[in-house]
Amino acid sequence: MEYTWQWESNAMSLSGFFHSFPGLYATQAFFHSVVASIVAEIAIKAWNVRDPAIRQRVFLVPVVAPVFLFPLFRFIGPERDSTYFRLGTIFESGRWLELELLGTHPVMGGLVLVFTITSLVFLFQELIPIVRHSFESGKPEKAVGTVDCLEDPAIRTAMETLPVVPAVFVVEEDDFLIYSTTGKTAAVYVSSSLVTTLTEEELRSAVAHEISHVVRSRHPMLVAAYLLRALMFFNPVVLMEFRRAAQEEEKVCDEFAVSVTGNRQGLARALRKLYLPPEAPPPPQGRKTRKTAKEIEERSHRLNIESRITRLEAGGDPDSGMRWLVPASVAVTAVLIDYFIV
Amino acid sequence: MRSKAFGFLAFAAGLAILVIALKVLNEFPLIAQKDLMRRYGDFEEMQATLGIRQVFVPSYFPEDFRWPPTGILAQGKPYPAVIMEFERTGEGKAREVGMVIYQAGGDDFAPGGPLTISRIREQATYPLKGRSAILEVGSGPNGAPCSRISWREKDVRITVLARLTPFELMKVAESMLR
Repeated sequence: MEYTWQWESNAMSLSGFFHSFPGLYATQAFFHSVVASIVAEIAIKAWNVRDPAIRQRVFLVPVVAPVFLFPLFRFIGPERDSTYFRLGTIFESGRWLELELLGTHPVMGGLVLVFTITSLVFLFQELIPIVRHSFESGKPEKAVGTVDCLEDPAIRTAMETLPVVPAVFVVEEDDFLIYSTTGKTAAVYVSSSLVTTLTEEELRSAVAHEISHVVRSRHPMLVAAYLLRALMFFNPVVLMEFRRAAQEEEKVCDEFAVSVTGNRQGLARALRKLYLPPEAPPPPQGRKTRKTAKEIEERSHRLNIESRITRLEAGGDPDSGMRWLVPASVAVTAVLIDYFIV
Repeated sequence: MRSKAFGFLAFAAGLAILVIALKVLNEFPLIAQKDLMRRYGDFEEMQATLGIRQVFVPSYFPEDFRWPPTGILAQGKPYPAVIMEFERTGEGKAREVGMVIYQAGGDDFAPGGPLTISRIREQATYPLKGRSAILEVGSGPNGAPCSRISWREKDVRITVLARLTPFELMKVAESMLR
């Protein structure tokens, strides 16, 4: 094969995008998050980290780092774009992107497909529900009363240290429900059926868990993490890691509730009553695909709840000595390796 | 929790495996596709592999430089590009790259590398055998004098960068055009 000095016209459009600033940013952010995610996983396994607060910080490294790394590296090391630097790197994404198969660029096409699917998942599973929720949030019309969880002097003392103590409303509802709203009118809503089913200490634990969500929703680090995650809407690794961090958030709130009530078993029992009813018999056959997808989601949710209950029943994981050591190690290492991922 | 020291060891071992795996992954495309940017043993090997029809080479070399290039890098995709490195070869001279000639089908081609001009003191348009060339005179990162001349030859942009006087640099550039 002979080459002229011209760009190949058939490769121009896609290749042109991947050589432009947005294309380079998207590609490098993707590979940077992949590497940061693997580094995070290595750290979790190496130090056997079980403390949910530490795990959450570790999972947030691959979420936050790729937002900044490409522009930062361009600023501090403009030579990163040069041919010589690329030849000496640990991994050069351009090599894979330029691979040709039957006149096409399969890696480029695959990456565009992955970015598109992830953007749609972000749009329909996260952005639209959040926007809808923010318009619909507020006091439900069926709220019929309040629960005073502050009667207990110990809890009242603990609550006094919090930046916010939301009101707790009871909602006339037959299903077991407990949830919180955030913002200026932060509140916790409990269904009437749940109030009658849970014991007083179980209810207190469940409410304390929801209050923790309200308190932590104002945590600047988490707010910033969500905003940065939204900037990486196209990045599947960020999507996955953010969801893992969100799952850890439930465990962090469990720990908060336990620290307020001093009652691990109460929260474990409340979770069991709330989310783990006896499993229903398998449904009849038919429309298999949709049923299976729903079953998988339910199974996944159930496993998550079971892991929280097991954790609560087993006792805490005081990894306080590693509180910042592990996330800092992951962040520093990810930045250093990612500098050589172009 | 395992001891911190063991954790550090396991973490370091995991990172080493990750870096090695990435390096191995980085080599696969070079095996699968011959026209990606890589270093070649000599000029003929590069031409035989990539089949780039016309490469502009100088017929005049200042003292301490001579043909063939001591290093050659090239690619065929996404556009052809050739980088020729010339080391000083005179007796008693440090073996360092003193001249780099690169030509590429893309205007954004920025090889960087062993020779860079970090501070430009003077820039002028220079008529190079009927072409309009840009001549830049400045210094490298270590303060050594450095000059660069660049012009477009149909679809290819040619740049000569060297630790030479502007006069010598222009003679090299002119010798590349017939």
